[in-house]
Amino acid sequence: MELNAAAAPQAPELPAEAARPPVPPVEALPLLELLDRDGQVRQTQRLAGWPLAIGRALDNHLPLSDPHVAPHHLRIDSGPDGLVLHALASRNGVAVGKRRLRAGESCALDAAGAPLEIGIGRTRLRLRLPGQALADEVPLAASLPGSRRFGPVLAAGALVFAGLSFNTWLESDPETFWRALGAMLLSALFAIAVWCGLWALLSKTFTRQAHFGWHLKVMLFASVVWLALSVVPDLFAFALSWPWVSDFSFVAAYAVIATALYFHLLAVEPARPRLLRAVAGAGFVAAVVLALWFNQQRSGRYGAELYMSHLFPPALRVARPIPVDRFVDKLAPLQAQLDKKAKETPLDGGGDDDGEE
Amino acid sequence: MKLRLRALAALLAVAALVGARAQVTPAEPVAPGAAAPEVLPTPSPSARQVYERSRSQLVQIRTVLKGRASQTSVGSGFFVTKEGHIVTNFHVVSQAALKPERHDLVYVTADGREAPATILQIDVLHDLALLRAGDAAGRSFDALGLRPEGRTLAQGERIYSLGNPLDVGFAVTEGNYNGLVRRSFYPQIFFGGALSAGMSGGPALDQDGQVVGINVARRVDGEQVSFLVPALFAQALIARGRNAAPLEVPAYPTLTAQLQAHQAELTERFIQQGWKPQTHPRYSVPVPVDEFMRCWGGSEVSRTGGMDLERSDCVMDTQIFAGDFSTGAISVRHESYDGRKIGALRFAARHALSFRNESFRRLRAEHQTPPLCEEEFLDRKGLALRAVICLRAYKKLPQLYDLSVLVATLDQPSAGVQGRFDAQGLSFANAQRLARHYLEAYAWN
Repeated sequence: MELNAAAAPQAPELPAEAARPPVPPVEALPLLELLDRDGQVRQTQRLAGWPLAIGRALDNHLPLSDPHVAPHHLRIDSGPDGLVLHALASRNGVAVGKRRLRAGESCALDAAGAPLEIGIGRTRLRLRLPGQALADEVPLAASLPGSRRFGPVLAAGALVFAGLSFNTWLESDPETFWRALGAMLLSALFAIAVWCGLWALLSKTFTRQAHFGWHLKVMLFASVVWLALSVVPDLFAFALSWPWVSDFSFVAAYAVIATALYFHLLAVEPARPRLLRAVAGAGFVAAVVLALWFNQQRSGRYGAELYMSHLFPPALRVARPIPVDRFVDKLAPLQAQLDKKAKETPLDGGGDDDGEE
Repeated sequence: MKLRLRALAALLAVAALVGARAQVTPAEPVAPGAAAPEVLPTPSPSARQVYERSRSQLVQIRTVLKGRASQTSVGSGFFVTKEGHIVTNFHVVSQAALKPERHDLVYVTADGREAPATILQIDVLHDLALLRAGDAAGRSFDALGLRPEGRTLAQGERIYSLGNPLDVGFAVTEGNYNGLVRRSFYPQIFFGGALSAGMSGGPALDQDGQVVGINVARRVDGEQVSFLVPALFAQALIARGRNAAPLEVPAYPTLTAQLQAHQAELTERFIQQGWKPQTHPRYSVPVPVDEFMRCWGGSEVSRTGGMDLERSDCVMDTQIFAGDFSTGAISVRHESYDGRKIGALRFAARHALSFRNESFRRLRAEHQTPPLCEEEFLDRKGLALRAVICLRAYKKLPQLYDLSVLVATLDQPSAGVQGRFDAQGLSFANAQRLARHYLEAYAWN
């Protein structure tokens, strides 16, 4: 990358003719890359010609030490219709892109598309061929304009700061506000540093890069959504007199946590987004089911709140008030439910889902 | 050790009800050792005469674990008929009455004779029980006479309370008759003398040795502030139960029936007494007339420029002891908030916090269901309220419920009132009636 970066600015300075090197142009040879499990290239090998034999035996063009690879695992031949990959005698077969070849099968390799990934045993290989299109150069983070690089993080950070400050302002008395704000900022900074630092450590361990900025971004974005979630459902529950909105707002909170975890993990194990999505999804479902079960055990209800306890300024109320008589009459159905619950022995009552709300 | 605690627990259970709203910090329960000089002052000649005359009528009532020799609680009692009827407190025999499969009752006389006893009748509302000696056949007992209802005592007259404090031994303590306790739902005598745990159910006698009342409770936060059940309730219980067959136990049906009668009278009297006028400059906020309740108020001005508040807290002295818990009481409280110094948003946050900071559970799951609630915005003649009503059912007292109502006013951006009404052991109809009565007391002035 650095070599490219250094070479690139020189090119425009020279006239087109003079830029042509005196030595004959390098022939575009196929390149075989050996990938690490995180997708980074560990080793490259230029291929002078075909066929190419890969296996554990030493008489291969590329001898491997992977115990899950057969002595002569695969061979790529150049034929009249292009390159053909032959899966030789092996137990584990060959993965070509999304296809799996068993021993004895073969397939043609697409010489024009994206570089092909070939999996044998636990080894991941990538074959780059001269005719394949090159992907665009990915700009370095440092080369991006500051607004694009830091803009989202700064904006999220400002929102989180504003939200936390507003909460502190709400909860403190006028004379204690500044002290409370200082304490809140210190603890928030500390919490952010510890949280993102631990994730960066994990990333560094598994991907050799800390990705601190990524983790910071994930945490700040999640915090913005979290702050919004701590107000919006409560406000709806109050304004419309819909207690269930705040009663079950914990489901949305768990969704935010699961999403944030997914994006944090993505910077730890970038090669397996599907697995991580499944982990985050399963975690979310498990947390919601556990929370519902715990609520049911604790109070006989699935929701988290016995009653809607969020009061906002009276002007925000939308629902129409009803007369006392109508409200008191609404109690009548509770009698049968209470009598049913009263007949349950304490053990039953604390047991499974026998109370239907 | 267990015995003493249990004995203490039994009496203090009721004493604590009386002392529920204490002005001064409740003192520690009187320790047995420290209590001795106070409980047993040097008897005057008449105290000695009273004790000598009534010694043979006096008994200790022990609740014993079935099949084991250990006692789970002790109290006192006395013979009221030649046929061996004994009067004591319900709370002394409640374990035997409600969990007969585990407990036996035994009475012990002053000369140490021990014999079983059975329960004939209970009066839960006045905390009385009528027992009969198990060995009554062919035996004649010395009995204490009850002072006739018409002969009232004068305030300051000497009375003598007898019993077996803390299982230490039979004792007589002197004190004064101070009339009836003010604001008690059921009449109780204010005894200016010392009572200790274990004396519950013992008689309090006048100079002539006639029973004035039955020891029942004391205030733990005062000195020599004790309570007696007037003898006339014992008289009524004897009349009702002397020929009764031994009570079918567990006595929950009787307990429930008496609590039903209590809640009917409580609801009636509570609604009848009405509300105090002018309880808030802006609204009419329900504060009960304190005929059988005691109201305390307070105010807090924020020292950090925050929200100011005033509160009123009305509770009943009387609660009905029902074995593992007490019930049958009403409490009404409200807090009035002034948040003009902090503005609408900050006020709303505090209003919500206070609204959230309420508990609707009272008894453990073995006694009561978890609460079921209904909530709405209410319109009280233009005044908007947020109201929550929660109800709990008793597991062993069918068709009795606890009612809790929580109310917040929602008309001013930076001031408001939150009120809470609690009533225990109501029929469902009366729970609805009291909820309506309470909610309809909110309005504009």
